[in-house]
Amino acid sequence: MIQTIETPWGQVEADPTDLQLGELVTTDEGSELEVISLDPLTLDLAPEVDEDWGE
Amino acid sequence: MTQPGLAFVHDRLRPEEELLLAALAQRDVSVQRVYAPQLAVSVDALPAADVVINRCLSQSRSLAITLLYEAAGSLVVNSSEVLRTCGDKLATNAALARAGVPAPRTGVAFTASGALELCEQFGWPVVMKPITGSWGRMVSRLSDPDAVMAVIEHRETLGGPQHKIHYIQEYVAKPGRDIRSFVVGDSVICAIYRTSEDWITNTARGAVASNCPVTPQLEAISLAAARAVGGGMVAVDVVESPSGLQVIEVNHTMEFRNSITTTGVDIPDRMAGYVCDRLGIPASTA
Repeated sequence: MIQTIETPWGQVEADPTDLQLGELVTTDEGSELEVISLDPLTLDLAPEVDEDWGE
Repeated sequence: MTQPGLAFVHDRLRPEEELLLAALAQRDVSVQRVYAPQLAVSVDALPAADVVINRCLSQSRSLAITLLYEAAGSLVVNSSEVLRTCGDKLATNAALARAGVPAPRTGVAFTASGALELCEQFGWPVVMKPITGSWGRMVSRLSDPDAVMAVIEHRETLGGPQHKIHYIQEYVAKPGRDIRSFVVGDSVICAIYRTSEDWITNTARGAVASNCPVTPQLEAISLAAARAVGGGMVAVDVVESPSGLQVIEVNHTMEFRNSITTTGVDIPDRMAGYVCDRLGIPASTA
């Protein structure tokens, strides 16, 4: 069921049971967050790039 | 029949990871997903897996996890050999040179004067890159000694031992595009042109992708480059130089979201098929 999840960076509309670790979600304020834990559900700011990221 | 275990290690889920997971699901392959940032295990207590697909964005985390799984006896795609070689541009150049794969002239220097000496040997302009890094970050085309000195000063101010290794490559005057070929095992499954008005033709930097026919020459150099770094599933970046095709770099965690429609090739399905082969799952179950 879709719920409103409160975060320090705005609200996210999502079904917590559908979220996956590593998934990106966007808040109503436009911040991009990464799901870093499912139990308890934890969202954190998702950096666009990190120093050692790449393909 | 019990399927052998497949672990899918990831951090951020990009479209590529979603597509690959969907392709594996399409083939009824059960996958044990491992979110790498949450891993905290001792070396002898990793979850068992026969085959591991490692799709971590973080290259250092990717190598660490691959080493652990390999120590536990798992087959990791791609292997630590591939990660180490592709994750270091100088190691890639060394591997290509050892295998006789054409590449632009490349060298390293450890002092500013040595760097300038190399630049003079290669002729201006030259390209300076960090030894590690991706998506065209901190790559510079430099036309004169003043520019080289400025970059070296910046790098040395940044600190860290890697910034004291000056990787210099001859500049290849390419025709406004380069080629990315996708190698899965022993096949070059497709290729794209990456066209840009910018000299850095990376789709992450706005280059436009279009289909590139896999010619015998492109196939040969791509396979040779892939084998040189250890094989597996890699993307080979190739430039059309006046003297023929040359390999610029090989990518071990290839991105392909812009290349499926462009080429008409179901890249994630081909990757899933390769992994199924490693697992011993017959193609008929796909």
